[in-house]
Amino acid sequence: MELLLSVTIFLTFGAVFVLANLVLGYFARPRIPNPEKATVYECGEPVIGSSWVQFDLRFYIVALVYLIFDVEVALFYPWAVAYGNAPALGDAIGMTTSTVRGVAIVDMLFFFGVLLVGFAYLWRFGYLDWVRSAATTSLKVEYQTGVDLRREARVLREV
Amino acid sequence: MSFSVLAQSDISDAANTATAVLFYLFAIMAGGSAICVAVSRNIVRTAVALLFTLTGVAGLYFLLNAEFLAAVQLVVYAGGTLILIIFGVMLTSKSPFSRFEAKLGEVVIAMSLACVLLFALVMGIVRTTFATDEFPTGNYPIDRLGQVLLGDYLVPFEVVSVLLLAVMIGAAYLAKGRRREGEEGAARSGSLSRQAREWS
Amino acid sequence: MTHLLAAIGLPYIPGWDELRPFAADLWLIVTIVAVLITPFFITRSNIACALVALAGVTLAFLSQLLVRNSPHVIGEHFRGLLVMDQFAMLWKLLLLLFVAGVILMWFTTTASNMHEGDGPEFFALLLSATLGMSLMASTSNLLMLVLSVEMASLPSYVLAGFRKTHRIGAEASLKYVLFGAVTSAVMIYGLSFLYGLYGTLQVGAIGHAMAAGAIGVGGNALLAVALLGLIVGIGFKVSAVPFHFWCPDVFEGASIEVTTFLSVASKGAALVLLIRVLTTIAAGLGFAPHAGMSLAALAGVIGVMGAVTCTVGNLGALVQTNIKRLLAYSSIAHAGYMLCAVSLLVRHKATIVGEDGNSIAAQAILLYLAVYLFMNLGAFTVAALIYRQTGSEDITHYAGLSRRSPLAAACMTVFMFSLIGLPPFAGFVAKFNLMWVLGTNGGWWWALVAVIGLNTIFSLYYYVRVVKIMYLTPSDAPALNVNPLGLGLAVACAAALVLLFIGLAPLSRVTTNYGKLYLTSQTQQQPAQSTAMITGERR
Repeated sequence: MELLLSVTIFLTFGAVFVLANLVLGYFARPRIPNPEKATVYECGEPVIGSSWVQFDLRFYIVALVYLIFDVEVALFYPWAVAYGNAPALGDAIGMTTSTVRGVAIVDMLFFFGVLLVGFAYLWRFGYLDWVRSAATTSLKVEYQTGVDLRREARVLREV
Repeated sequence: MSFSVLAQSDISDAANTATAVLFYLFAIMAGGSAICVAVSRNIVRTAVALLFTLTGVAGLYFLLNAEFLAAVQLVVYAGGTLILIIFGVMLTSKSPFSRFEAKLGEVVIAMSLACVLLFALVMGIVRTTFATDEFPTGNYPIDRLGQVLLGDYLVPFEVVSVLLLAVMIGAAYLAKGRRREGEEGAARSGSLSRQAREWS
Repeated sequence: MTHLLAAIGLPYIPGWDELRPFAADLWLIVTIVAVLITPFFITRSNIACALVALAGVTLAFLSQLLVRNSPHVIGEHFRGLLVMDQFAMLWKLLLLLFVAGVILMWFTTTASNMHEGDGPEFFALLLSATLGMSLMASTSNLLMLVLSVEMASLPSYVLAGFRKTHRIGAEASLKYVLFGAVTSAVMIYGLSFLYGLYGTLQVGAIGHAMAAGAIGVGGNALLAVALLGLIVGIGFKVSAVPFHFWCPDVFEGASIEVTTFLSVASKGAALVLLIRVLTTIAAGLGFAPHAGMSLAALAGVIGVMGAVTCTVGNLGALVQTNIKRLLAYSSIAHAGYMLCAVSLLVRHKATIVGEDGNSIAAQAILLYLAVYLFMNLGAFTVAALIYRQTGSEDITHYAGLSRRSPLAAACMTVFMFSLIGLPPFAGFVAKFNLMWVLGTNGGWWWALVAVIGLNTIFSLYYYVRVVKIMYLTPSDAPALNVNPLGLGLAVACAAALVLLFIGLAPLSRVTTNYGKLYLTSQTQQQPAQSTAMITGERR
């Protein structure tokens, strides 16, 4: 509960600090409008075009794969804590430390083993390579047998 | 001794007030921005409002002492899913300010269904005592959560790994498939990145 | 808090006794992994993966056959999360048989077109969906229910859009995923109320808790929302009427073996799940109208839904000219027939579930699915063969098929007549049995029998039209050179339909023996605290 209190104080203080400064600035600053001031700031250089361009699809793939690993990590965490606290946990539930750890290891081996296969598949066949996508798009007509996209990408880079 | 007891009760009073304040803050944040998600016709604004909904819900979990769930909500939903949604918006729509228009009839049907549902839910929730356990005070021990995952709910835990595997493969396939299909799109994005290189 | 923690069971490693009943599911997981490992060693991986998948499904089928009906097998496993009984066993066998057929069909249709390297992904997804559908039959816990439904759905969304260069396929996949996401969200929201009201995730315990005490007016409103959510989620998978819009588009857009897979496996799994959940709850309430929870109203909703579904499906099929869309509407109609049988939740005249958990609805649906599997697999195989040769899915291009490929035309005729439910084929028995079961319960179930009979007359038109075009419309198109493996598969399905009609006794004995649900657990598994919570009065 003390934690909650400190979080509330922190949030309140943060909000008040920012707002107060903005309000103070609003009253204190001189007003000299200028069209230059309304433009987008881009390291002092003139802006070319809009920033609403279509993103590269690769960002999406990376985000998608990231999300899956994210969920995995979320599921790993309680397991890891249970494994780390095995002595205390074992005492509380009447199991020895080694039994708790053994069970945890075996159960996790299945979970992780299955996921590892997927990860190995993505890695081996080049789904995680940043350069690959452009290479496979241009090479897709030629290549027939192999599905080793990384090799294709490497060939392209050497050329 | 009596002084410290007094201080303790003062702190707990203040903490209760803080809980109430935070609850309303998070509830308004979640509910209000959820309305924004539904009402806003600008897809980017919808995505940003969704961020606040998810964060508000995470805050509510936090107030219920479900820290782990709150953290997962923030990491997976606010952190991961939302980025995916925003990338999706950036990828697909030519103009990110595209608008949705619904026909009047559709709006009427949807609104009347929603009102009936809302009525049933509000009446139901107000007049029901739920059978769930009292939520524990204090932090929920994460190692017990691990124990549940390895004990009573072992099967879902292991099945989820297969589900994640399938989703991983499916996502990879879709991403790969799209690129091959959209030769034109890939060329466009290629030329964009080339342009970007020239500019920098 | 202490009470909450005290209820938690110890960590464990499932023993052989626990795992053995689910040997088929374990084999499926092994096969998924094996399919993904295959391309590490074999360069031309598509065919290799298909063979690995076929071998894995066969092994799963055999291991499921070896699981006997011993007392160790029947009952709840994994601390009540999964249940194994004759009903689940037979569904798993049917599902695996069907998936093996779909893989064989893949050899005759897409094998040569599929881009090299897509095979591992295709079969990994197909088998994951199969695993989900197999688990759907065994779920006795709301968490497993959600997980298995998602497990069946998520790979299906990708499979529906698997044809990369196909615009309609991409659109269909998107439609499917949007509909699916919304309906499963509604379902999970509804199920969360079930948990809130009864404090347990076990379906059996929920049924028992419903019987134990009234939950007040507010509780009943929430219960209605919860059951509505369940019906929405499963109704989407069954393509029951207000949620059927995705079905024709997805069936048209997906590649044909995916369409076949979805038409039987996905709908069958959803029906099996619905039977499992509703019968378990109804058993807790004693199959009688109940004060706290109106079982009769629920049966009414499902019955009306089934009647509307089959009518809409048949009326929609009347105007279709694309064979895949026609079969899509036909599958909506058949799902409607089967939904009608699910409405047998309240005892009117006949006994719904016997002493040993023998459910007449489960028997009827298993028999129907066992026959429907062959009809649809065969019909789609013939359509695929013709598509391979002519590049057209339009029925008008079937003109003169009796001359161009007599065997294919004969098979298609068998499937069409069987889909109508005409006598010398097994479809008649399945449909007649369904109507008989509904009729014996009496009451307004007779109305459902009448609706099914009327719909059979509607369906006569469009099924017979296909046959008429094949046999009576002249065409000077050249003879077709159909793939012998595919033709063999079609002939096998047609033969199965005829043989099942002639020697029906074994099949009906099987479905009678296997229509047993494990329902006896509620009384023992009842957690003490949840009843105390429910009987406590509302504020």
